[in-house]
Amino acid sequence: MKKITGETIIGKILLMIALSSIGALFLITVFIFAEGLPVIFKTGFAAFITGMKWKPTREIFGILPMIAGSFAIMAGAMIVSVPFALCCSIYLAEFAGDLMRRVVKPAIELLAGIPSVVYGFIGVTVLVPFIKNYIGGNGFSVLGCSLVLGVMVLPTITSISYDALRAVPVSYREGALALGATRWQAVKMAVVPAASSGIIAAVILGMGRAIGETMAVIMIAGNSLIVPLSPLDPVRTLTSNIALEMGYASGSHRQALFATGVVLFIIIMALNVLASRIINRAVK
Amino acid sequence: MSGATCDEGNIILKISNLDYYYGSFRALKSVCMDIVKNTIVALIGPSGCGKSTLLKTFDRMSDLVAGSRVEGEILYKGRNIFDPATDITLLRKQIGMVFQHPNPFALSLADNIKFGPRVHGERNAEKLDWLVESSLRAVGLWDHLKDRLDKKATELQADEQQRLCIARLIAVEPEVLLMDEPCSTLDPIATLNIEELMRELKKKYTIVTVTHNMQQAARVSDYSGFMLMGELIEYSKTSSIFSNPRDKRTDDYISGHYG
Repeated sequence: MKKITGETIIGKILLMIALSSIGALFLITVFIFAEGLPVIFKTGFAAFITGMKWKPTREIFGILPMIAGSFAIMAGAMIVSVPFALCCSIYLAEFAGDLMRRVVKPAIELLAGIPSVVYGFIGVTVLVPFIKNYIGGNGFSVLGCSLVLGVMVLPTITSISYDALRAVPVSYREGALALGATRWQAVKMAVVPAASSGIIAAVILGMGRAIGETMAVIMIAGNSLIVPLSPLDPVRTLTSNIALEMGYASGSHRQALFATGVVLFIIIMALNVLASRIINRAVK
Repeated sequence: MSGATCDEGNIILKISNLDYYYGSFRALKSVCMDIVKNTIVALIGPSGCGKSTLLKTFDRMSDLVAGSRVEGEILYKGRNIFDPATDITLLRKQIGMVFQHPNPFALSLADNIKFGPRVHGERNAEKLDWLVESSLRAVGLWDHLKDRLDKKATELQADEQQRLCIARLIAVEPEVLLMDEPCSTLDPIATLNIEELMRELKKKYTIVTVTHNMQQAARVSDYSGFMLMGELIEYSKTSSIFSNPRDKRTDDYISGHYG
């Protein structure tokens, strides 16, 4: 008989706690799908995700404008964020001295700690009036949202790309320098290509964060139910749709919001799976 | 500690009174040696004797060590490489280095070879392709790999990787190849293959290699230098250093008393 010791008991307890997080994921998934699927089946999945009209009172549920809205601000956020994040991570990983790294890296990571409502507040009080007065539209827009989200996802993309760059062996840099490459050539031609899968994964995870963000988006995006055709158009995203209407929804309306959640869930899952695939392939 | 006497005109690297410091530690002590064109020079000695450090000063990869400092001079074809006016990228094109652990880039075979020429401004696609072929031929990889040029270099076997790293150097048309224990991670057969390659390459290039393996030094090199605690104890023709060492410490080392 196997002896029961303190070690094995602690091991079992830790295992159960670890499994409970999987349990939570499982329950959430089941709940969202159980609540959301009936409406999707009733409307038809294709009609649900391609429908242009969202009229809960008349039980017309089409979420294309919100899907378009979510992707529009995600794309905008990436345009803002990716160049900055890449430059930051390359600078920190390859060029910054110890002192600079010790100051800049935590500062960027601190951006992730600012509550999103604060970003939203700054967006509403500063960015929205600025866009309205100097660029056009009423200020609540894809543009404003993209700028704010771009800053919000900066730490995610920067720190994952940074880790990917630091994981490239020193021998690559030496090999390049010994061929007469300058430091920038060594980084550009040898180090960045070697880190490319990690960098792509970082961008994908950043996309997931951008699409999942709610509070700041509600405050800045304007929340109109239209497919945005210009960066100055107001939009509503999948996340803000749920947050805005959940308070008063009931019956099939409430289920339709869960169905929105199902779509969001699938998009974010797909992005995460894609990112971890890319990372795993890079490890091999 | 005088160098082997030879025809001055054939000296490609002339090292005089070279001292190298890591912080306050003197890692090289007044090293003097002349390296003759189209020969293979082996640096031998126990771990930590400074042989790799010496090798790294030849293409100034030693500059990368924080807090290091150099005194004395190395004349490459008559010009001091430590002169502030030296173009370091050009120097490293002329004096290339092969590392202990094969370090191909995570790029395709062809892009590995093209790396150096591209760094030095070569953009002509035909010239680049020609360089891929000729460099791979020079290291004996062409016939074997010509159909797999877009394969990732990091997927090759260790000795193929090391050959590729040599090919990558050859593509920038250097004059001197520095090899820092190029066979230490290879099996005996692969080691013999690389040695064979070195003999072939010395027709066109001058090779300085660091090795732990005295048989290898004896097999492959024309001149050998024995180093101990940062000093070049003895430097002469390999045949004479192994059969008739002048210094007792050399004798002790090559007969296996320490190291």
